Amino acid sequence: MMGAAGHSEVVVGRWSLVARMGGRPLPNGAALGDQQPATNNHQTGNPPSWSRGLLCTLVLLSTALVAQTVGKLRLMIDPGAGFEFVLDHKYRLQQREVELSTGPHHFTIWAPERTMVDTTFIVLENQTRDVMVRLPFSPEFRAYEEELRQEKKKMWLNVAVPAAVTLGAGILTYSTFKRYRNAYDQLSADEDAYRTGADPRTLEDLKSEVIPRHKDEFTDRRGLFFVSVGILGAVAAGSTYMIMRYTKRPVPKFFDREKVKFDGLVWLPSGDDGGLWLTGVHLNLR
Amino acid sequence: MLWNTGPRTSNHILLVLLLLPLLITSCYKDEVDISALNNNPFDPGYVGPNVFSFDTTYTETIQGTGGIRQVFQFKVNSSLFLAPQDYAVYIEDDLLPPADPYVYQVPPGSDVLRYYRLVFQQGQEVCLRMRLSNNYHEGRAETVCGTLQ
Repeated sequence: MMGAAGHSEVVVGRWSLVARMGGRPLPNGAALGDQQPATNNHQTGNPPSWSRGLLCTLVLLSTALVAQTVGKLRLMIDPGAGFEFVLDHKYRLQQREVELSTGPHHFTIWAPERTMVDTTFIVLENQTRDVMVRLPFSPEFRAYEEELRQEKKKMWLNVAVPAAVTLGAGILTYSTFKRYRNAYDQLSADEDAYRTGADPRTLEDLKSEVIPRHKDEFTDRRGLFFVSVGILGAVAAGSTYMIMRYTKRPVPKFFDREKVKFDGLVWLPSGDDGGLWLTGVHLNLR
Repeated sequence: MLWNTGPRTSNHILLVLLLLPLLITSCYKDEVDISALNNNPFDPGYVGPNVFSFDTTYTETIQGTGGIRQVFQFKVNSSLFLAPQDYAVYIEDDLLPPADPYVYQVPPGSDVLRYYRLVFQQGQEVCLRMRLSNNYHEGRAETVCGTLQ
């Protein structure tokens, strides 16, 4: 395709050369005697028509031979997906292999999050060349990555740590609650032991030593439970505040300036009627 | 997760976190009042009704030896027990300290017990201090009196 377009350009160029050499292009078939050659205005006589026709034929033949020499370039770009390139400052493409006329061709290669790379590849006749290009990350993307790293640190500080502390306080509260409940169960067991006991010495010890000791333990563990609940409440409130405050922060966003510049290299009209019209007009934004 | 909920939901969660422990505390109160632990007849600090009551007293011939002994028969109110229990009764006789102060349930499970006195006197009131016993530990003492007619 591109070879055909290149071939057309070359043919057009050759038509211009024919025009300068004298006479209209052959398709019009106009008379040549009324025109002065563009490059030689001082000739006093016109060459014979058969010689001009022979010359045109020779030129066309040579043009055809020259325009058919093409080669291929196989592009191996890092990153492997999403890249695009502008060929010869005119054509915006997104393919891995291109067939071009031999000679140098300019490429401006871009990929999301990367910096554009300008380079020239030489296409060799009837050969397929593998060319490898690694697009470096753009400064904006590096800055965005750094912002994300900082944001991750802040997330640890404002979300993960408070959540972990709240979880720890919750575990502590559960532990104190279990001990508090065990103390209560122990007192209930003591009460049952008094009710079912028949040994006067055991009953006396139960009332004078065992139950008072267990009551003290119950009181202590109940107090610890209250304290841990208070700590849990304070920690949970603080964590909630920190997490909610963190979630309201603006999230770092990446604005791909290189893409804006790349889009400006080649003008592409938008529209639902489809089709692309490529022109040679480009605005150099760099 | 907590940070994905709105402010109102987070406040509700916090409220539950704070009120739940109070509810839990109300379920696990210290209901054991030591001063109220005095209704077990085996408890030396028992303050309930009398466990022992006098039934009768009489004399009988001792089988084998032909001697005569006084039988002091009394009852134990086992309905006051908080749970069914086996027991013995410890007897203190100031007039005649017994060689074996323990009286057992004969037959087992019977609440009518007999204490024997080898020295007795007609018309004499005999008062015995009785205590419920288990494992050679004794409970509250009660005095039961009876007169041999």
